[in-house]
Formats: sequence, structure tokens, C-alpha cells
Amino acid sequence: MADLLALLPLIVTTAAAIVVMLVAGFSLFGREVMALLTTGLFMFCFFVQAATLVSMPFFPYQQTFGSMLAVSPFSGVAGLIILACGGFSALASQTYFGHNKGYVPEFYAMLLFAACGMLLLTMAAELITLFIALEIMSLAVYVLVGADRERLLRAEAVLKYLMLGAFSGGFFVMGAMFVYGGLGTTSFAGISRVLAESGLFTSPLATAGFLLILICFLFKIAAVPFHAWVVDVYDGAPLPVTGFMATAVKTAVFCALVNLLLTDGSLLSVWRDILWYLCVVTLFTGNLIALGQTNIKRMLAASGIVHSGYLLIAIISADVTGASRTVIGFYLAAYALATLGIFSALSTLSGNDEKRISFADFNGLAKVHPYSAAMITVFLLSMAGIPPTAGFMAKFYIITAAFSAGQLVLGVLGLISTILSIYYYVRLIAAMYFTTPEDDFAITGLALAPAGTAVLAVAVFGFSLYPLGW
Amino acid sequence: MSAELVLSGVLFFGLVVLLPLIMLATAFLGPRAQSAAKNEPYESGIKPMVGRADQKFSVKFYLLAILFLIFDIETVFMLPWAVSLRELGLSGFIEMSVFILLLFTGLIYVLSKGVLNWR
Amino acid sequence: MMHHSALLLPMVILPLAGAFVLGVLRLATVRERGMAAHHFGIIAAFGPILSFLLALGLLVQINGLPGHDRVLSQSLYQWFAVGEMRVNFGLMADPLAVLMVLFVTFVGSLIHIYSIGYMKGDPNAGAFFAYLNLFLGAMLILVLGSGPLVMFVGWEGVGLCSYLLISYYNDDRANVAAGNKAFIVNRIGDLGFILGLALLFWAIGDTGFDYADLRERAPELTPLLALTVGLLLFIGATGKSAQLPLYVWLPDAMAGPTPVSALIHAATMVTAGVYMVARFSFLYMQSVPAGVIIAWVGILTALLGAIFGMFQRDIKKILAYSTISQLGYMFVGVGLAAYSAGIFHVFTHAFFKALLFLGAGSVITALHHQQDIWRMGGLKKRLPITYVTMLIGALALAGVPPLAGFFSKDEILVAALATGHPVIWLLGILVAGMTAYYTFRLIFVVFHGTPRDAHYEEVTESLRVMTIPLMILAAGAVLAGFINLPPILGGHQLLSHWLGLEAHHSPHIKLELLTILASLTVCAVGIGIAYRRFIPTAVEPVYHGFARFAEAKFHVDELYDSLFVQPLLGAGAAIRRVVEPRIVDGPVQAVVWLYRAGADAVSAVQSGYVRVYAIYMVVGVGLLSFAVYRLLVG
Repeated sequence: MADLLALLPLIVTTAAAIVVMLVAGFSLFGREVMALLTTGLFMFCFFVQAATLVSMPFFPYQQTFGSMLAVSPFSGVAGLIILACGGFSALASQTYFGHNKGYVPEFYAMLLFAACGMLLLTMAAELITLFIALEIMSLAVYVLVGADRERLLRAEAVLKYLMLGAFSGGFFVMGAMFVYGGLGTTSFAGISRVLAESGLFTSPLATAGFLLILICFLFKIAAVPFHAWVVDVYDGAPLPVTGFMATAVKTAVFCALVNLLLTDGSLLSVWRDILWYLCVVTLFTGNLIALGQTNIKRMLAASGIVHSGYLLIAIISADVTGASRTVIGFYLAAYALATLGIFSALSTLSGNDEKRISFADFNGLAKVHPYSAAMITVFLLSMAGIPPTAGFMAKFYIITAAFSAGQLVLGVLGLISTILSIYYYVRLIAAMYFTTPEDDFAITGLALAPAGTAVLAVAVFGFSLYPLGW
Repeated sequence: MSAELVLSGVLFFGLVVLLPLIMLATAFLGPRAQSAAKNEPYESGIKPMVGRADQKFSVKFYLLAILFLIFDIETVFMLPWAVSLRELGLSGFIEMSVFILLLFTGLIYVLSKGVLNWR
Repeated sequence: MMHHSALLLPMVILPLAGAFVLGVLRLATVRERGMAAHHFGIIAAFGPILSFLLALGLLVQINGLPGHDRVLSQSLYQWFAVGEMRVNFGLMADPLAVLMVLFVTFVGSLIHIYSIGYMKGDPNAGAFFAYLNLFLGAMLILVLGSGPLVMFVGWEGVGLCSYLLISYYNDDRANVAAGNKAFIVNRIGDLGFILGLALLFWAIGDTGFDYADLRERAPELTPLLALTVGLLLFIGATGKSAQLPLYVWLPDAMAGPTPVSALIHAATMVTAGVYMVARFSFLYMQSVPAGVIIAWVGILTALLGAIFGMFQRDIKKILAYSTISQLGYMFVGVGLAAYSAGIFHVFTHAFFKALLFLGAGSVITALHHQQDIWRMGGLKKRLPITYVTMLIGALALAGVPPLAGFFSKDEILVAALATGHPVIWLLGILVAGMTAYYTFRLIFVVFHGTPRDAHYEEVTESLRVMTIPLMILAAGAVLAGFINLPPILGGHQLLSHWLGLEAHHSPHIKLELLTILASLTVCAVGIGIAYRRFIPTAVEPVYHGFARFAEAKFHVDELYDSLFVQPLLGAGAAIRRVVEPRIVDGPVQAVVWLYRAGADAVSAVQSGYVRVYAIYMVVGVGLLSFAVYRLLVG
């Protein structure tokens, strides 16, 4: 019974997804009602997840379903972020599909199914479960990206994502096989037990397996050199989906990666040096890619690579205690707030068929829509890590963690990367404020996305005040 | 180093280097016999009934085939369950009921989309 | 032992909430110009009035406590903790703070009400009232803060509002310049204040940084430290309270709307420095020299302000210099450890100076923004209520018994004599005479004699909403002095006992008699000279020699300009011309170029072909495999 209680958020989300699927099948509601219904369901799931998280100290369900799943405060927080991302994306899509083609009612079912996969991913405590969760999530996201078959850009994006995603999925399965061959177990707890007994490098087969698994993860979080897909795919996907991918997918995958690497820390100690180089390359290549973009979506995609780099800093400087999980959770939440906010705002402002998407298209926005411009500025500043935003606090915690773990060089490189990243964030701010408007920035239709945007903008400040207990 | 290292090394070698090499090599090395009989389509020993291989046919066939495949594969799960029903007991029964229920909602969705209406 | 009070937070929150609501309303209606000025005003008046009622509740609450233990507090949360430093954000009220809060909210309420009339028809009134409410909130934080850092939040908050309101009529560049001047001059003072706080923290702040903690450990300060900290804090006070040498901003600050001049630049904010010194009395008790320096700065400022005040022709500038001069008195009081006398003068001054400013505002609106007293005259008949109330204010300011100014000023002068500073006393008496002279010069020129205004016949008395606050303040100016009657006049110095800031000493009957006689004499002489010169006919004088020099304010502004402003501007220009393009910009541009080149290179690799991306992955796998191989072997 405790098993089912621990799984309640997942069960509720799955049920919601199935309901929305049936509703979509019979075309019971119009587009706007579907969006509202989905937002409401996400909110409900969010509260269920919150209740589970709050009740966690009273029901110590650590391992469930024969240790195939593990529920922890960290997975709970990640679930909260994921469900909030889903809710805000659904809200933004209401506005987005008001002036964009490509709406299908199943869009919302897929959003919920993707969230199911992600929730499962955050709880997975075993390699096979992890893979199944990864695939549930990925399949739904493929559909979300490419639902609008009519547009070539979408088709191209989904093709690239699907092919490379399948490629990386293959690595994972092969890696899991090697690990099982080497260690005779696929559960995280079992792996760490075996490693603790027999040492780290006694099984080269398992080492090779972990490498392959790691490669799949690195692909999903878009770490260099497995990053190349991310810019094209984010660019090709509809704006709310891009926002959802950038936040929820990243949260879920990082949660799973942390669960795997930090089970007892021995795995991390093997990979720390390799991750160190990958992290540095990711930070700087991501910055350089972002700098070269003229399209805001592509810039944000590339900046997502950099943010993955920061999260890698946190993982590298992690210890086995909960503190590093807290830091990572905080960073994921802060990043999600700002990213969702900016994609929400873009969903409103981009106009018919995303016609306004380059930096130049937003020239002089501040003079026409001062509030929207101000909120976008807030989000960008949070991403760049300027106080007093949540993004600043998140970066502050990560760099502090790096320093206190003795990773001085990494911390300094992270700071340098922050300074570099200001260039492309501020570029949009400068375009909005210091140029004269050429566009009338007309916005049509009932708009819920601005409400979500405003909530997120407030949250960016509010969250920075949230005291992080160490 | 242990035998395992050798094994994993071989596997890696195979994955990264040998596989592409072999695929390339077959293109050059293998004998190529071209004959009319060899280029004929093969359909379970029967001579092809109608038309050409690249002719267009309704996408409904494709959808239907996919649906058949999905439900067919799901049925496979029921066979081992049925065999060990006694050992699994009530909880096994409930779990399978949930599974079948989920399949059933899938069927309802398929029906609602009108995929099975042959028009 | 601290007692809890739940009234403190709402008292601070109410005006702040008002400011927020007004700000939102103003932003929401700014495009349509939908809301009339008086609607904003009525909403704005709620905050201060409710705060005043809460302040009365606070008074009752604090009087219910035993005499030696009158401290109410409300700690809110731990503001920040850095290392060993733990700073709480809390509020605290002792009798001193309660007194300040009472008159700040009282005068503030009246001025809010008065502003409803004064700002009528102003299109930007929403912003004005939002700032005014924000000011009141910040002032209450300043007064009620439980520690120096909370006080500093309020200190900066009132400075910000002062700046915003001075430049309120921002379509005139001169007003903007005045606002900037006030802000920058205050900043110099604030630097001293911050340095003082830092030094204080370094010395005795490690066990807590609230007043209560500091008071306990103040005796540990060495004399030199106490002197340094005291003087640094006082530099902050000279900025905020317009003392030598930082007084120059206050006359220019009269560019703001008149209610602002009355509330911020006469009654409340400028007295923050005096309040601060009284609040840090435990510190200044450790260093007598610091107090003496403060007193000397105060009396010299009082003298200078009075001299300038005698020769000005702008009605608001006369009052501004008068404010500077009176603030000087207050610093004499607190500097010589007669804290209750200084605070008493803050209290009475708030009434009569706010009254005089609001009266001046009434005159100015009646004459369609005419501020030159030599363009006025004979207004007694046209503005009867304004005349009577301003006359009361003038009598109080001049120190005519039994009005408020008489008692408080004399108490300060007695303290000067009692602590052995006869020169300060003498200068104080001199300033009292000059004060009587310039005050009545103003009254006689503006209200008596022949009309000099072209529109004299059309002048009518101001709106009821403006005159009623005048009357209430006039009543205050008459009565405020009685709460601290000295024993020689049959009183018991109620306020001094209640404040309990200093050890009580036996009354100096002789000194008090001497002071009263002297000040009455100079007061009569001052008024007499003014009467002879400006009644029945006032002729616009042409100043020569010293008077001309004084009218030009000793050219202090020009001196500061050539000493500090121009060299700084020159240095800035030099940096812009030479250092920035030649020395700074080169490396920066090089870095940018490098960065761009890197971006181009990376973009070129980002080809867009799936197969190429897959190859990157395979290359990555190969590299990682090699790394793992090295790990396994090495």
C-alpha cells in the first residue's frame, strides 16, 4: 500500500493523461478548454506531488516495487518542477495555438504522457526501469515536436531528434547489458554494493557499460560533443514545446543522472575527471554557439547547453550528502522559472507562425509593450545570473559548492562562463530597449500566457529569497 | 588484465571500427550475381499476386497493421501470466486487469478516432 | 527586558502598502489619465491616518509599562547572516521613537490632506502621492528600526523619496538638477554614516548589532574610537539634516511641491540626523569632545542660516534657511547631551515650520506660483486664515512666549550655559534675535503694506482642505510647548522625564532666568527692527557690501562648484577622452573579437546535417573510450 501511496503522483498523472487522450479522441472540447483542462490537471498533479513530498517524513517509503523505484525528497522536488513546467507550458500553448497552426487535441495528452515518463524517470532506481521511463518520455516528446507535420521545420527537427535519440538509446541498452554482464545486477543499490565490495575497476565490462550509459545521459542533457542536435531541434519545435523540453526534460534527466551517480558516490569518483573536461568544454562551446545565433530560440537552446554545464559543475563537486542534491534542485527550479517565463512570453509575442523570432524582430519592444519587455528582461537577467534574481542565487550556490569541494579551477571557469554569457542575454535586452520599434507587435486572441509569464516573473524574484537549508 | 577486459575491448573494437569496416568491405568483396529471378519479389514462396513493389496503397493498411502489431504484442504478455496465475494470486489478477483496462482505453481511443471505419 | 508589540509592523506596512497600491493604480491609469488627482490623494491619506491611530495605541501601550523599562519590540526575521554576523530585521519603540512616530504620522496625515487640495488637477498626482506614502513608510522604518542597519534602510528610503519629490516637476531642468544635488550631497553624508557603522560593527558588533546590544557594549569603546565613530555618524547627519558643510542642498530642495517642503524638508526627514544622534546617545555619552564638535557645528550652522535668511527674497528659501538655522539649534541640544531639549525642539519645530511652509504654499497657490516676497504684500485682507495661522507660526518660530518655539529654544540655550559653553549661548541668543527679525520681515512684507501683485484683486483664500490643516497645526504650534514646561514656569518637564534620555539634573534657576530675559529682549529687538523697516511701507531694498554678499549666500555654491564639481567633471572628461579609448577599450575590443571569432568557428561546425551530428557523437564516444582506457590501464 505504501508503494502505491509513493506512486500516487505518477498514477494521478497517468490517469489524467488517459482522460485527456480519450477527451481528445472524441473531440469533446475546443482548443481553449483543452488547454485549461490540461493546465488544471497539471496543477492537481502538482498538488498531489506536493502532498506526497510533504508527507514523506511520515511514510518512509524509500524503495518501492522491489527496489525498482526509489522515492526521495529530491525526486519529489524534481517531480514538482516537471509538473509545474507542464502546467505553464499548457498555459502558454493556449495562447500559442491561438495564432499558430498545427494544433491537434492530442498535443495535451502527449504533454501529460511525457510528464508521466519524466516522473517515472525521477524515481527510477534500476537501469531497465530507467530505460523504459526514458523511452516513454522521449516518444511523447518526439510527437510533441513533430505533431505539425505540415511544416518542414518541424519534420526536420523531429527527424534529427528521433534518429539521434534512438542512436543514444541504443548506447544505453548496450551499456545496461554490459553492466549486467559485469556486475550481475541492474539496480543502483546493487551496483553500488558490488562496487563497494570488489573495487571500482575490477570489472572493465561494467566500466565500459557505464561509459555507454553516461553517453546516453550526456546526449539527453546536450553536453558537448553530444550537443549538436539541441539547437536544431529546439528551433524546430513549437515554442511551448521548446520551453517544456528545455526545462522538464532536463530536470528529469538530471534527476536520473544524479540518482545513478550519487547513490553512494563511488561511481562519481570514477567519472569525475572525465566529467570535468566534458563540463568545461560544454560551458565554453555552449557559450560560443549561443553567441553566434541571430535567432532567439536557437540562442536559448545553446544557452541550455551552458546551463547543463553549470549543473555538471554541481555534480562534479557533489558529495554523497543531500546538500549537492539541494543545490542541483534549486538550480533546476531557478532555470525552469526563467526559461518557461521567456518561452511563455515568446508564445505571446512571436505572432502568427512564429514570425517574430530573431533578435532584430524584437527591436524597440519596450516602447510598445513595456511590461512584456520588462518581464523578458527579468528572465534574461535571471538566466545570466544577475542579482537579485533566482538565477543569481542558483549560480551562487553552485559556484560556492565548487569552491568548497576544492574545485577552484572549475568554479573560476564557471564564473568566466557567466561573464561570457551576459553578452548574448543582454543583446536581446539592448534590442528591446535601445532601438526604435519597426513592428507594431500586434497580439491577437485571448491570452493566458501573459498571466503565466507574470506569475513566473514574480516567482523569479520570490524564489531568490527562498532560503536554502544546507 | 582480465579476460573481461579483452572481451569488452573486442566489443568496443567491433562497435567503433570493425562494424563500419565490414559493412564497407562487403560492398567491395562480395560476389554479385545479377539475374532476373534474383530481382523478383519474394512473398512467402508465392508468386507476387498484383502490381509493382513501389505502387501506392492506402495508408489505412499501414495504420491497421500497426494497430494489429501493438495489440498482438500486448497479448503476448498475457500468456506467461495465464500460466502462473495461481502463483501470482489476487494481486497478479488485479495487475493484469489494470493492464487490460489500459489496453481497452487504447482501443476506445482508436475507435473514437475512426481508424477502424473503413471508408 | 523587551516587550512585544504587534502594532509596529502594521504601522510601517500601511503607508508602504498605500504606496504600492497607488503605484499600481498610477501605472494602470497612466495611459488613459483616468483617475483624478484627489482620488489618489484620498487613498493616500488612509495610510498616514491609520498609522497615526496606531501610534496613539502605541503611546497607550508604552505608558502601561513600568517607567524604567519602556521598550516595545517586534522582531520579524533574520535579515541576513554572514559568517558570525547575524542581523535581524526588527522594529523597536521606546519613548523617543514613540514621540517621533506620533508627530511624524500626525504632521504627515495633515500634509497628505493638505496635498489633496494643493495637487488638485496635477496630472502626475498619482506618482506624487505614491512617493509621499513611500516616504512616510521609510521614515517610520528609520525611526522604528531595531538596529542601525534597519535605520539605514529607512535613511536611504527617505533620501530616495526626497530626491524623487524634489525633481517632481521634472519638465524643468533646474528642478532635476536640484534633486541631483540633494541626492549627491546626501550621498557624501551617507558615506560617513556607513563608515561609522562599519567601524562600530568592527569594534563591538560581533555579539549582535541591535541598539540594545550596542548600548550594552558601548562602554568598551576606547575614547578615540568613540570620537571617530561619533563624528563619522555625524557626517551622515550633516548630510541629511543640512548642517555645515553639507547644508547646500536644502535651499535648492525647495524646487519640490510645497507640501513636500513642509513634510520632508522641514518637519520630518531633515530631523533624522538629530534623531540619529539622540538614538546613539549611548555612544555620544562615551565621547564628550564629539558632542562639543557637534554643538559647535550646530551653532555655526544656525548663525549662517539666520544670516542668509535675513536677505533672501524667495518665501520658501527664507523658510529653508530658517530650517537650517533651527536644525543647528537642535544639534546644539543633542551635542551638549541635552537630548530631550534637542528632541523637544524637533517636536515643536515640526509644528510651526510645517505650518509656515503650508501657509507659504497657500500664498503661493493663491498667487499662481509667485514666490518672490517683493511681488506680494497686503495679503492680510485677501488671505485672512492663512495670515492668522502664519502669524502664529511666526510668533512660535521667533520664540514669543507662550508659543512652542520659546520653550524648546530656551531649554537648549540653558543647556549650553549649564554645560559651560557661554560663547555658544551668546551666539544662540544672537541667532534668536536674527530669527525674530527675518520671520517678521517675511510676515510684514507679505501680508502688510500695499499690494504689489498685479492680480491682487482676484486673490482668494485657499480651499477648506488646505486651511483646516493650517488651523490644526496652528493650534499645535501654540500648545506643543506646554508638554515640557520648565520648573521655573511651574511645569515639571514632563517630556524630558518621559523620554528618560539623560540623567536628570537640578534646575538652574538663575541661568534659566537669564536666558529667558535675554531671549525675550533680542526677540523684541528683532521684531522691532523688522517693524520699523517694513511697516507701514516696505521698499524693496538694494543690497550692498556684506548684505549683498549674504544675499548671494557667501558664494558657497560657487565655491563648492569650482572646488569639487568642476575638477571632478574635468577628471571624468579626461578619462573619457584619454583613458577609456586608449587604455581600456583596446583589450576589451580584442577580447570581443576573439570571442566572435570563436563563435564563428563553432557555428561553422554546426552544419545542420544529422549524419554530421552522429559523427560528432561517434567521435565523442571514441574520445571517451580512450579516456576510460587510460583510466583502466593507468
